[in-house]
Amino acid sequence: MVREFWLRFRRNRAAVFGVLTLAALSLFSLFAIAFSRYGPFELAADPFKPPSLQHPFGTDDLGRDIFVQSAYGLAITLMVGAATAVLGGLIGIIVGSVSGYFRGALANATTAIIEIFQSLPLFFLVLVIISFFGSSITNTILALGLTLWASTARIQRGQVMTVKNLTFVEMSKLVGEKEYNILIREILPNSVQPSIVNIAYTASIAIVVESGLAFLGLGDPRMMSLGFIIGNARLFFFQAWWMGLLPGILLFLTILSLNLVSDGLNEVLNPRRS
Amino acid sequence: MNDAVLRVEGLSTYYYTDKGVVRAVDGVDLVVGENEVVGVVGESGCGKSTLAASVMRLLQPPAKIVKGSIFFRNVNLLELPEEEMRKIRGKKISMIFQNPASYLNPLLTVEEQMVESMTLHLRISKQEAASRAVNILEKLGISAPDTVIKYYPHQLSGGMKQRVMIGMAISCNPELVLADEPTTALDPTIQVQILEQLLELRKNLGLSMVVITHDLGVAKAICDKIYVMYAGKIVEEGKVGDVFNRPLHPYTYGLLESALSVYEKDRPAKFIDGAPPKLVEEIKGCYFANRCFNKVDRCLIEYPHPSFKNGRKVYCWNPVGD
Amino acid sequence: MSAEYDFKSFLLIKVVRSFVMVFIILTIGFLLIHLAPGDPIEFILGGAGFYTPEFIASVRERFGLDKPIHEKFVIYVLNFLRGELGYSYVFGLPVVEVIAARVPPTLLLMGTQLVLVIVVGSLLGILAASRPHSKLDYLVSSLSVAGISMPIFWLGLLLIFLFSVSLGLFPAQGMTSLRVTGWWEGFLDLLSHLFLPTLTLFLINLGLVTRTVRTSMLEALRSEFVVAARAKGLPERRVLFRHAFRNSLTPLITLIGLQLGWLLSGAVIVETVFAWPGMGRLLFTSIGSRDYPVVMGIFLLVSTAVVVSNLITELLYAYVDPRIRRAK
Ligand SMILES: Nc1ncnc2c1ncn2[C@@H]1O[C@H](COP(=O)(O)OP(=O)(O)OP(=O)(O)O)[C@@H](O)[C@H]1O
Ligand SMILES: [Mg+2]
Repeated sequence: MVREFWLRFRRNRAAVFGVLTLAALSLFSLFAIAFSRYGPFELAADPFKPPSLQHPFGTDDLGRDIFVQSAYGLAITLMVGAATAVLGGLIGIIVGSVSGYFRGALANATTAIIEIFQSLPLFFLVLVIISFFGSSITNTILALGLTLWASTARIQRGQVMTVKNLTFVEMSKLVGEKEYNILIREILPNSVQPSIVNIAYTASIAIVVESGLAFLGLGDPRMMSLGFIIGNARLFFFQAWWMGLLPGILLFLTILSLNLVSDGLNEVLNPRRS
Repeated sequence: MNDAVLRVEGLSTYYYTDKGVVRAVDGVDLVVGENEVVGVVGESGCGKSTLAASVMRLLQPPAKIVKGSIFFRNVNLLELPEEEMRKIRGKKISMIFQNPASYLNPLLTVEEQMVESMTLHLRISKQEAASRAVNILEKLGISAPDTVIKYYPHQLSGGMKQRVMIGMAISCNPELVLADEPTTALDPTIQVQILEQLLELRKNLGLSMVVITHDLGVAKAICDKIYVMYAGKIVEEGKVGDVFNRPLHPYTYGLLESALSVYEKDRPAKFIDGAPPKLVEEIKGCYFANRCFNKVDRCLIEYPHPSFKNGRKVYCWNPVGD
Repeated sequence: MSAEYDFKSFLLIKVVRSFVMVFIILTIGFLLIHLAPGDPIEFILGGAGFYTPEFIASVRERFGLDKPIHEKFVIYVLNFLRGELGYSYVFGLPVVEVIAARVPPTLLLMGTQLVLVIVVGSLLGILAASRPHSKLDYLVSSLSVAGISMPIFWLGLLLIFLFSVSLGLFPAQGMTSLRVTGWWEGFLDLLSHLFLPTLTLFLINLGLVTRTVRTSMLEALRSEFVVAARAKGLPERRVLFRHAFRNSLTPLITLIGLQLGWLLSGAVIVETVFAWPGMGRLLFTSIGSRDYPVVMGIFLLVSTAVVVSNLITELLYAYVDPRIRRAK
């Protein structure tokens, strides 16, 4: 089944481009960090030097190497995306499964919670949390993960509601399996696929929000981030255009690839919508 | 021959799908005379709707008309520019669809939907068109038509929806009406009423009609002439009486037998075994051969040439009763 | 008629739900204030060090900060209903007044942008859907994905560089120039300031709208009533707009109505980049100066606006679709 999935996915050229770009970006960031001679906050040369062989992305207002900064920033950006996707994905799958499988008060309560989180203005909520609790990378990931799970939960809920009425599930009920076992062993494996696919989407939103926060200066001050580099570049845009241009392209490519992958996965799962 | 309203010659319409070419309509000839009602019968999937959509040129990709001509009053519709064709649709040739529930726009009132084609084709004002619409609905047996006309489709019963569809189809005084399974989606009692309406229209308006159906009872009740279609091809044609009293093609024979076994309880049930071929496959010989009780060796080798008999035509090497 | 009665009860349910939603948002706000590290008075007064002890004591009293938690909550809700959101130490004004002054610029920016995006995005989406798999369709689809993936602040900077720094066509900062005389000149000045922030938001959201319309149009164009409309001989334009587009409006309404929060997030960043004196920029500066009451006030206001827009969305569904309006 995985094979067939891959065969169909492969036909979507944009999605394959997305996967390859993501891989390339990750490798770029890893190698650049491994071989860089400076740290991201380290003064490497004179300030405001345009791109050259020595400093491919140029240097910033303090003389830090933007190439190295971008490599670190990209790593952080990807990490925040991945961590949020996992955290939000887990919460979404758990809440969605509970809300889809059980009936009565528990289902109603969880469904209501999903709806509430779906209609909260997430970016603003995250801003308030960060502003009240302080900006650190952990706070950012927690704030994002704790808010970005509702769409996964809704998908999971729908899936579980369909799967739980299938014959093999009813069979195991008749045989007298425990509810808990049925949910874990029978229903989850047969329903999580679309929720996992939604992770690419969650990651892309997370990165958009994280880079926005960092741009506004609300990121972790001890961590380099693509949004932060561009935010810093904004102040010197008139004299040093390169400060924001190349990091921006990296950020754009990251989000674009995630969106393409997410589109591709969705198309494979429900071909009718394309 | 020249006074035919519609003359379809050698028409082929294929669907170019991922899985192969579906030859849904494959070299079909068909003639509709003045004030004549022609039936096209055949099992589900044999290409009847595709045939009708081809005449209206309403096909969307992956469908494509690959061969043939469609003469309407001696004008080949397939050669008309789209803009000219558009002026014929709904005005000269109109269509009644199988499932009125999905062919009516759910967001527009009956009035809005009926009026728009009249103001377009007849160049009359909205008020005039609206009062015309009320008249038409009244003639079609809808009580309180001036209330009904303000309704949205979901407020109408199935029979009322189909009457509205029929009303729309005849509102611009067409010369030819294509009715694709006009009664299939309806309750039996409503079916009879709708059939009576169609007969009435034909008498009063001098319409020519093509009635597509898989219900032989419907065909028998209102048609003058019958075309039997199988796997994209016409296999037999003739006057209704002739075809029903003495079917020549084994497929027609089988259809009639299975229909009769439904209508008459004490008759032993008879159905045609097997399923029609997938139209993707390339087939040698007669398409029906694998299901035929009357086949001879030649049937598997060569597609039958037509044989003519008393103004009837059949594509079969070994017709029934010979 | 009973149908109308049913619609009324449908409405009633939606309104009640909206109130519940606002209540929940208040709860979240309350919890955040009391869970955050530090004295809650900070989150109501901002820099408490700026005030006299007497004043702080009076605020403690008014917000019931010395009372048990449930009473505090009741007072908090009542204060919200009276429009008491605390005090901004930066502006020396009640939070409500500070925010209210910043709402019109945001409305102007969002409104202009939304109108443009809806009109142009719908047209592009309809055009792409009417010729699926054509070159135009691929172009529109590719540009949509690109637009959706573009970091909004980066696009803003690029546009400033192009239109402001290189071409010198449009101002990059603020909403008005200092020395302008006459209302016509003032109007032109406002428009030229509006251009870049609007363009940025427009380009970002255009992809979203185009994609949504394209998908729902493709769906609508597959439906049988569209075939019926063509069979009537209607011109293609009429088929597209009156029959197909009307039937594909729901996802567009959903996008605008339910994603208002997301659209406003873009405004926060754009207002910051272009120094547009709206609510978003206020939020940014308030976070910087730790003017917590303003931060919380904006959160509450935006959340409430989102709830209201969800409610309006439900009403619009009913307006567009008679089946909901007269639902059984
Ligand atoms: N859009 C399409 N793509 C591919 N194949 C199609 C498409 N529409 C119809 N077909 C195929 O063309 C053949 C003829 O279909 P058509 O709808 O004309 O049959 P029909 O005789 O009207 O059947 P029914 O009685 O079910 O309405 C069928 O085998 C069908 O599978
Ligand atoms: Mg059909």
